[in-house]
Amino acid sequence: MASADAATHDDHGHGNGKVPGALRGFLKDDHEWFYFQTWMILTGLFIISYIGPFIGEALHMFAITMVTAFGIAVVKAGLVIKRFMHLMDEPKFIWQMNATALVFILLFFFWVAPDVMSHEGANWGNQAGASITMTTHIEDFDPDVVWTERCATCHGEEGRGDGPAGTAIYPRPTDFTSRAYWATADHDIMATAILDGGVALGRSRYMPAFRTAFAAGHGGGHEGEVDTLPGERTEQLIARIMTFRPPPEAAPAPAPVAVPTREPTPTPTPEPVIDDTVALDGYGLIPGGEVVPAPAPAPTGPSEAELAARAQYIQGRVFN
Amino acid sequence: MMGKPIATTRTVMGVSTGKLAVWWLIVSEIVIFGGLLASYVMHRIGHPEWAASAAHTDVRIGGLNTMVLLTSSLMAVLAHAAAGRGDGPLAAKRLAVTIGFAVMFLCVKAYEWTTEISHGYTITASGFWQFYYVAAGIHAAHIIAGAIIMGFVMMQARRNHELGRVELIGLYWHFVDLVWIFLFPLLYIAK
Ligand code: HEC
Repeated sequence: MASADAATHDDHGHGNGKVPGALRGFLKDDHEWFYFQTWMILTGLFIISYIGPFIGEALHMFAITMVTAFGIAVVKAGLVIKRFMHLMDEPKFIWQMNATALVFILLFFFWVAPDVMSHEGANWGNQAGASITMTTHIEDFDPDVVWTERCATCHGEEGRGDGPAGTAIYPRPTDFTSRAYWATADHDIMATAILDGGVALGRSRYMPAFRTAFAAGHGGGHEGEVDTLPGERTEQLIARIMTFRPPPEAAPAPAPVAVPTREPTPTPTPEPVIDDTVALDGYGLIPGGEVVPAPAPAPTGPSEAELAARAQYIQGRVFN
Repeated sequence: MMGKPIATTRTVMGVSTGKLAVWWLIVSEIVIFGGLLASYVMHRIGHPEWAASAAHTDVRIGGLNTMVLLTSSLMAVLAHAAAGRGDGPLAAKRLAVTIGFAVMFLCVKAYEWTTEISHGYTITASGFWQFYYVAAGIHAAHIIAGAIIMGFVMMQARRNHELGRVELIGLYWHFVDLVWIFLFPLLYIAK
């Protein structure tokens, strides 16, 4: 047991000569002051790692964020291990077994990561990852093909936002079949989304920018000429998206199916009627506020035979 | 020393057996958290689209909890210092403060998760959120377990019993702090 006035010989002595007066009540000896100093260094490092990203962002240097985030984490970890856990004061084999565990984790990482980090394997594909990074140039532009190949992975073939990649991301892509969407849809916002991506709108980063993909490419446009292709192609895609727009009035209820049931047929809740002059105001596509008739939905009911079988089955369940 | 568990007295390897056991525990934890974090890193690199999810974590809350844990580690090591001088009651007091910081960490975490979940960022929202909740959740479970054990050690230390255990629980606590030192940049900064 050391008394408080014992002479100090080194950092690890039991004197309190180095403890600042204000902290004497809290820190009993120089040893504890040493811990406190370590804590102050850790705090300083934390502050740097906290403000690093702001500096990195201001200078557009992501590398700064990476260095301040992970470089500092390693330094902090080293300080805690050395000064708080006293790893180096233990017999050698203690750090050796810790290092062994760490080496196995690194082996795991470098064996597995190359596969996980790619966007495609023999039997699987990371469509969300691939579609967000895919900005390859499009040569022969056909809006239907482009929709299927470049947009439907997220937005779904039918525009419902339920493509294989669409269901994997959050927030979900826009549902182009929803009346609520078209009530507030805006041509310029759509065009910006397609040309410059969701980021340009402060919205989801999942929505990629297609300006370069739609550009004339090498040998296409002439020197000094404004490339109008991205704009034109975007208009074609917007027109394509407009085919998903549901008809303005509530769709006629499907013909009642002749299945006997005791339940009263629920009356379909009326869909909100969209005022088309408002909804389509933003669209230069529809001159004079004319409504483009949406294609009638193809009848996709069950076949006659199937209905008969179902009716028979239900009858068996309900009436026997 | 009669009647004491052998783990606290035997020093065949040059460390007390109890401390050796804690180091082994930490080695196994390195594999648990290391595997988890390594998986997160490779998936995060392979999924550029996770950036959109990661953008919603709150760096202020993560930063606050980083400071809470760093300070709790300081209190744990100060408790160790007090125990080393044979001052059990002071060690117990400092452990109590450490537990207080653990509770604070958990309260901040609860607030954070409640906010996120109520905004729709649940564990099924995306791959990022799955990792987020699993990694931070397993870490929080370690905080809870550590705080409970620390409570027992504290009660013994107050009566100057088993002061060696103050160092042991401290070792574990620093490790849990270490994990957070890496979780913080991974989940809150580099996104
Ligand atoms: C990686 C997934 C992904 C791909 C690929 C993708 N989108 Fe999107 N898109 C989104 C998401 C997510 C949103 C929703 C953005 C938001 O609201 O935050 C969106 C939004 C939009 C919008 C804006 C809707 C609005 O709010 O007015 C348009 C238009 C659009 N996409 C068109 C396209 C077209 C055309 C393509 C193909 C050339 C395409 N998208 C490819 C994910 C994708």
